[in-house]
Amino acid sequence: MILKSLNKLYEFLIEIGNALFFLGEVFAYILTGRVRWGELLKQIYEQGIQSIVIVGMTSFACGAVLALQGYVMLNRFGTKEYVAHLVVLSLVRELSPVFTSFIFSGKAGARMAAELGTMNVNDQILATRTMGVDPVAYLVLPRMLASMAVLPVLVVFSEVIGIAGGYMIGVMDANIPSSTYIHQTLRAVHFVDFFSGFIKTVFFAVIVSWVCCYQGYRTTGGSLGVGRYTTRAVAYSYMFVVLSNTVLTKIILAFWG
Amino acid sequence: MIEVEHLSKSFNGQPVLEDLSFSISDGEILVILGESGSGKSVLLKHLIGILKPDQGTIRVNGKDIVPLPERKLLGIRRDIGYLFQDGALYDFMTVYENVAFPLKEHTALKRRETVEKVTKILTQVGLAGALAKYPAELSGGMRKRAALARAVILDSKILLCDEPTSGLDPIKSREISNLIHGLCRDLKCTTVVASHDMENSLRIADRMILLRKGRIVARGTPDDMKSSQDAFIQEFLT
Repeated sequence: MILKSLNKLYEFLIEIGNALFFLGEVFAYILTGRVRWGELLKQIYEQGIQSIVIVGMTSFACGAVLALQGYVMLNRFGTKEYVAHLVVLSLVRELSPVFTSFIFSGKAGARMAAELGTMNVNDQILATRTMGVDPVAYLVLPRMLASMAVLPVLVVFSEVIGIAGGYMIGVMDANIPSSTYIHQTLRAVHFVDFFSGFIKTVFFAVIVSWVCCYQGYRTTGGSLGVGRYTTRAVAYSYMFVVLSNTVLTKIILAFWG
Repeated sequence: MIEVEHLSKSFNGQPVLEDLSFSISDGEILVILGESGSGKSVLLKHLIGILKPDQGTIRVNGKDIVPLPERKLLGIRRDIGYLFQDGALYDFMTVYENVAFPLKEHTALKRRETVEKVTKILTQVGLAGALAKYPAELSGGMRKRAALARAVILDSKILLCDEPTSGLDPIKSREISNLIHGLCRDLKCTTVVASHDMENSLRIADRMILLRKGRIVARGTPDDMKSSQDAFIQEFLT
């Protein structure tokens, strides 16, 4: 029993080591500037286009629901104008970075894991090595760099659309004058709020793309394996995004309040 | 050109290759015969440095590749073509893009020169009309021919083929074997074919080695094999 547990722990540590080594390889390529620009642009297009509609829809709904709930509560205290504050700060500081990362992980992350996984079980990654090309440089690096470029843009897009959703409810349902709502929104958000959300997004982009590419890259076991590793990739990305969000929020609040 | 000495490999304590020694001369076609699970594919993967042996040396053009790190092996692999059992073509690329890939990665050829070279090799393997097709649109035999074209596009001096005829009917098997034989003679490349297809192996091989449970149990020319009185060889031949 103890031996079995120690063996499991050993395997877990080896896995962590392999995953860190994998990330190190990717960053080594980034630092040496050996990037395939054509592949990168293709990935940016695919990852961005794939996620933009669903991010827009969920962000609009999220902003609208925030405004609806906020209006009900704040109206009890006669401070319904502060709905704009609630919506914009919630979105910019927390909800847009986290929710967009979840959506990105479920769409683009799952796609990355499934693509690399299928290539692995069909020997295409091995074939890349036999042709004298490093699969990390050719297949993984463009995907991870594209995620780092696309996710922050998607988060800003999500924030704008979410604010628009809140504005619609604030103006049409809560009867807050349009100019007041816009004024309150602009007054509420400061650079540090936007910056703290943005910093998180960059971390989330690295986490999601790293986890998904790593899981895809090490997929074994045929089509069943592709399913298993893809599911694991998405589940792990969700988990790591939530956990790292807690740590990052604590650090950001400690430094910038 | 390739020398293997005392090569051994085991997985999870289970020996797969045991004390193998053999060499292959320039331009020679060596067929490694054996039943399924006898270690043929594992041996091929050692010859290209994908797997590292537990013991032994593998010299390619006089250089021991066993201690080399992956980055250095990538350079060596540019001169070695590898034909996978199922082709392992990129399914997101057309046949043309697949075959042009090694040229794009390792040469400075202009677009026109690449088109010419790829068209020429695809014509040679009988796929001149399939340039724009994706691997999913090809039959098993066509996929193998496209993969063979990709494996030799850099004028590789060494070609490793893993079960090139598996999954093909006898006619297609003969076609692909003839193609390998013809291309190897044209390009004067040293070729190692792992196979359990006795009929085609006897036709294309200069020399053969027979593996059983990770050990070499017989070696010689096709004529030596045919005239052997060994019970296992006779069983394998029939």
